[in-house]
Amino acid sequence: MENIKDGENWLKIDNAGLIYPSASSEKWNNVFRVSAYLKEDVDPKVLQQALNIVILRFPNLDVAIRRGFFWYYFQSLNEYPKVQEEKTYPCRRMELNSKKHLFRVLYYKNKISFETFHSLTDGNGAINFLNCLICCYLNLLGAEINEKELEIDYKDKPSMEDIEDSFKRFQDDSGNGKRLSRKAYQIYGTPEQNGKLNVISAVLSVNNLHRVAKQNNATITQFLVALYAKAILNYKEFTLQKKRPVVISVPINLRKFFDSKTQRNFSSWIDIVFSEKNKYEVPDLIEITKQQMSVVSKEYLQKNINTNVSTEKNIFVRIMPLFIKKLALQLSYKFFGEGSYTTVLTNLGNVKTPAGFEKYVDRYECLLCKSIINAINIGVVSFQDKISITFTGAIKEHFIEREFCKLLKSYGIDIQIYTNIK
Amino acid sequence: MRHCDKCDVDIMDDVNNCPLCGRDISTKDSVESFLCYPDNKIWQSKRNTLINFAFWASIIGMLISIFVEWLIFKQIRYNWYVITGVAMFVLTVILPLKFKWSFSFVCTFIGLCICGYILFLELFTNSFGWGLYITIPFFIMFMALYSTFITVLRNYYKGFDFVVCLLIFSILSIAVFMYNILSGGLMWPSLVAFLTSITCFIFILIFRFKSVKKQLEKNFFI
Repeated sequence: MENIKDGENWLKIDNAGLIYPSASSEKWNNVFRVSAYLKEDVDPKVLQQALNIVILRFPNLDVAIRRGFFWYYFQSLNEYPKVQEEKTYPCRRMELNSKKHLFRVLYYKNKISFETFHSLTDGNGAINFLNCLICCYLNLLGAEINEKELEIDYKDKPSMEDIEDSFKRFQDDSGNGKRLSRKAYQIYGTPEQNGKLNVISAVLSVNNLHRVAKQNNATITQFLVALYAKAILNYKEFTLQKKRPVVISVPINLRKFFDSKTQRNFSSWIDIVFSEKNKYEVPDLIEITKQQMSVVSKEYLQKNINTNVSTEKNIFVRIMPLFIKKLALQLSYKFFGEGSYTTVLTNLGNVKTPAGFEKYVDRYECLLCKSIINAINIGVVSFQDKISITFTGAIKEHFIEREFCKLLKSYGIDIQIYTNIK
Repeated sequence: MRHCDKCDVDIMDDVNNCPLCGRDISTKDSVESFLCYPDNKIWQSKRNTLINFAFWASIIGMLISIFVEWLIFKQIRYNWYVITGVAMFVLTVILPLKFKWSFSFVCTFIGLCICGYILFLELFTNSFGWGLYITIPFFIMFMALYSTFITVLRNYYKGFDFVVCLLIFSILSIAVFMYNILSGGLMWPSLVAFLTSITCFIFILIFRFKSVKKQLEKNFFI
């Protein structure tokens, strides 16, 4: 069905991306952002030139979303997107009916941001696009950075591998995984109005964090999940939903387990459940996290893929008209999707860049959008020795962020805070 | 950067209160300027305001009209036309503007609304009396010819396009024809409409087979 390359101009949405347009509403849709802070201010004209070059390499992004009778689909636009100056809150809703690109390239002083609707790509694809854009931008400014060292060379022609639906390719008959549905504890607070999104970004040294995590026999992700769980459990003591478990959803990049080069969505997730009472200390929480994350293997993820694809291929789902599907998906996303976890912590890992990038780029940042139910989410990304742990939330209270930073400080890690809360 | 003594963290320069604890840090000296986020402004959509205004104005106007008629005549008679008019206004103007429907979709939707309106007049008023036998079949014929011409002449293949419009009106023409056969009414207008729309559809299928196949596949793929 992938017809973009054959001169035709439409593309089926991949398995993971199917839920997002249906779950979208007048007020919300799933948009996330990756940003890079350069060491000098951005030149918008050169950035526009770079975008015009790089977009040709990413046909999966050069699309608008359209409604079919049974499913949404992507239609190729063949238009040059415009870079925009960042003037308002991050991760604002995308207009799905506008027949325009479903991403934004924004600049503000020394920052270049790429915001995208989640149906187009995942964190890995977004980082690849941003790196290509920055590389092209820097080369246009006269820097000599070897684009061949990028994961995706922006001068190459796009290939079918880049826009394939890897879920379909790797689906097999080895059986489906089980889906546990539970109601998770939800963080409540005073909601912000008018789409306001509070961002608190804690920037710290990767080496220090890695050292502390290693002392606790954990990886950085496991350590951060445990700290985050502790911060939420401390907050939970003051709330009434004590019986519900704290569930932290951690996305997993499937490209590490399956040989795929797709630039579209190809990720799964694991829910880390902290169901006991609030008396655990951080080492205990690390043990619980390690124990639950140890199930992540190729077989486990294969079953997750099979479950997702078989749901999409179910004949009853396929023949259901879109307006009914949309209603059903909106409700199920709200109650069985977001309702089944407390928060999301996504770690994009250490961004791999060509040699010479470090002369021009200071750090990266990853922002998740406000969710329908979940009040706070975390995006983590590191570059060289700087790791950005970015809280995005749509509530006025910042107890959890403060607890999290306090816990980090208790391990002797220095923190710099960047925020849009003035 | 500024420093919050309570949380023991460094904070970017243009922030006056610690985002974690809310403490005032504006008096702290800063060393270097780090601005990461712009002053936030919420973009107000004038378009949406205008659409909402038109919607509420029509609803309030309708309610006033009903109220006045009730006050004078103690019954609602002429206001059924007002209610129908407002419903048509909302369906054919407000909704397409609000949800940015495509031209072909608007044409199809308005066409169906007009058919519905004629049916309403036929069934609930004594205005026409020949809606189902003459007006609707000729209107369907017009829509079928219009869709065919615009598809062939303008090569209009985008999203919900006129091929789908033609398909819908062809199906409608079959329904009207079947109804007229069963009810024993005037048959020739619905027969002409049925034959015209089916001929148009076959014509489009023959001369634009590849494009039509692609369009239908795109709109109806399962």
